[in-house]
Amino acid sequence: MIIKKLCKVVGDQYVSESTGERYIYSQDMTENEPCQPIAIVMPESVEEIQAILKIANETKTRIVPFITGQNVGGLTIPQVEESIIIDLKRMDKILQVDEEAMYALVEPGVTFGHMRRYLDAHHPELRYTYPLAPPYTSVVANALLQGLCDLSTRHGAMADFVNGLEAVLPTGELVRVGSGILGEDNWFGRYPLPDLVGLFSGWQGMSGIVTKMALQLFPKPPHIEHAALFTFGEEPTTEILKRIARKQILDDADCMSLSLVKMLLGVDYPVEALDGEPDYATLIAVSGNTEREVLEKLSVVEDEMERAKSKEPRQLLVTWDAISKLMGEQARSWIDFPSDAFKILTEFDGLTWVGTYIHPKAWGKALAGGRKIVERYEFELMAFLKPMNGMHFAEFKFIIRFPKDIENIERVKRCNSELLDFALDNGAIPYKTPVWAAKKLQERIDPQFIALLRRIKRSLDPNNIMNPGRWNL
Amino acid sequence: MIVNPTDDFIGTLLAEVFRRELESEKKKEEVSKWKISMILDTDYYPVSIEFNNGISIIKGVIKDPDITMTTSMQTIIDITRGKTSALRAIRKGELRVKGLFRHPRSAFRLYRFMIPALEG
Ligand SMILES: Cc1cc2nc3c(=O)[nH]c(=O)nc-3n(C[C@H](O)[C@H](O)[C@H](O)COP(=O)(O)OP(=O)(O)OC[C@H]3O[C@@H](n4cnc5c(N)ncnc54)[C@H](O)[C@@H]3O)c2cc1C
Repeated sequence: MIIKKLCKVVGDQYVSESTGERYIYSQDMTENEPCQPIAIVMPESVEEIQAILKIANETKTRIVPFITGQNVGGLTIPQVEESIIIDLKRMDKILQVDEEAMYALVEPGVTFGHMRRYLDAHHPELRYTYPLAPPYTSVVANALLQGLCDLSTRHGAMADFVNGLEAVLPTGELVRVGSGILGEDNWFGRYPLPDLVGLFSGWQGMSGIVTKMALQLFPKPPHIEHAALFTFGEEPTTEILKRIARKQILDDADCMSLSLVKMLLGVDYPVEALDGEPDYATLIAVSGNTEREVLEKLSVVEDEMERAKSKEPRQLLVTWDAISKLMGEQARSWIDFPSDAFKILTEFDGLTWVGTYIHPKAWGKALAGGRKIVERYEFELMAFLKPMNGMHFAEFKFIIRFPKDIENIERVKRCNSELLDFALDNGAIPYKTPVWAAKKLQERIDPQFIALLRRIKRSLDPNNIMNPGRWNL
Repeated sequence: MIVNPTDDFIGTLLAEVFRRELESEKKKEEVSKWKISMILDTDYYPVSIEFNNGISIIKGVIKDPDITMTTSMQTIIDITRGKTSALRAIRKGELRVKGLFRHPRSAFRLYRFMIPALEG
């Protein structure tokens, strides 16, 4: 019955109940349990989304928003039977780029690849910021998930790039938040207003469907330089990183286990950490309006590395000219995003991580303790730590790629569960939380926060149709 | 001509550099005739390189190498960046070469092959 109504809204060819498609949309690459939706619907316009949500609200049908399902948190897997997936890929227009206030207004299906190509072609003076994620993933979902990109060391999590948005509420009304409430062409920011972006950011599709988002762009700096730090030991590595990040000169810094670099260099699975090798490689980016400005910034980094060398002479700074000479053309794909370089992480059907945001005081301890857990479970050692927002905190995770068989899935579940307990012990907050992780978090946090979330959810979504069960709400 | 894959960091870097260097047919032909064994002993760890109808690189030390080069990763990077030259590094004691007198031809060949490869 409902399917017929949905076909009327979007057209028969954009509704599927086929076994094949329901199977594909029932899972992602993580260890989280699959659950088949009853149908997949692909709307093309705001009006269609409004109509779908009105029907769903009347019939109490459960809805899960989806763009490419690459969140690595099981977040598009329905948590209850009889759900319908709303795939937003067809809404892929870049609606406006404002050169002066530097923002882009985009639909949810716009990918990082679209954004980069469009800006390079039409607004070459401006740039957006890009993740390690594949180029075909969604810009809007990444911001809604409060993810991280290659300007996050300087500017923070991706939710901080949102100037405002338009969304369809679970009851079908269309709302806007941010300065765009004063009309078109006015999406310059979120203040001075009650900041209602928070009703959608971090909610994993539980509070409505975002149909437009205004995102900050930045001037493309004329000069950018990259370098890599090769370092030994968890505490020394994070000390160096903190000292450099505190100088506020970095656009980006990605500190990763050397195994990740060896993987990029083509070392076969399973990549092992070997005696004598540096433990970590940190890729850094600095930019400036003149070459001199960039070189000065690099010399600040060099000074810090010299200081570190006096304690451990093997700590090494390698500028990009040397890396390019050693590694040739491929080195470009490690710094020029969006890039396919990290697709090697998806070599198997299984990929997962427990991603968290974490206080600077715990960085060294987190890397060392997490390492012990991962080594005990005999997975590849692939830690990742990115100082965020000028070093007020960091993103921290251990990446695990694995062939998805029963034995591995069980091992991954146990390892991730231990990693999360350990992270929570250290005050880290998980992001892109699958339900099992949200449960663990909720056991420890202020219960009034959970009560507040429930109240907001109830008032926006009285029939609990939007992604029910997510975040264990 | 095959550069054997290795699973350690320095070996992987060297293999990549050698692979690119051997894109030149002339060099490939020349190097394929060599029978030279060497150890590159760095402050990270040593790797052994054998030229014998191909190049194989392994982590660790082999017995009785023709040539042993001892240096730091910093010096290797400085040579790559052109901040120093191999000769200057030798003069300053930052790069030491053992086996030069017993295997002068091998040493000369390695020098001519490896240094331009690193310098890019
Ligand atoms: C190899 C790899 C590397 C990655 N690296 C990074 C990285 O560096 N940084 C990073 O942040 N992420 C990274 N990711 C994760 C992810 O790819 C990105 O965050 C991505 O942009 C999410 O887009 P998506 O299309 O996959 O979203 P989806 O998975 O389709 O959706 C994500 C969530 O948003 C909800 N949602 C989707 N659309 C809407 C909407 N319109 N309104 C309301 N809710 C909605 C969904 O229900 C779901 O909860 C990586 C992933 C992979 C596979």
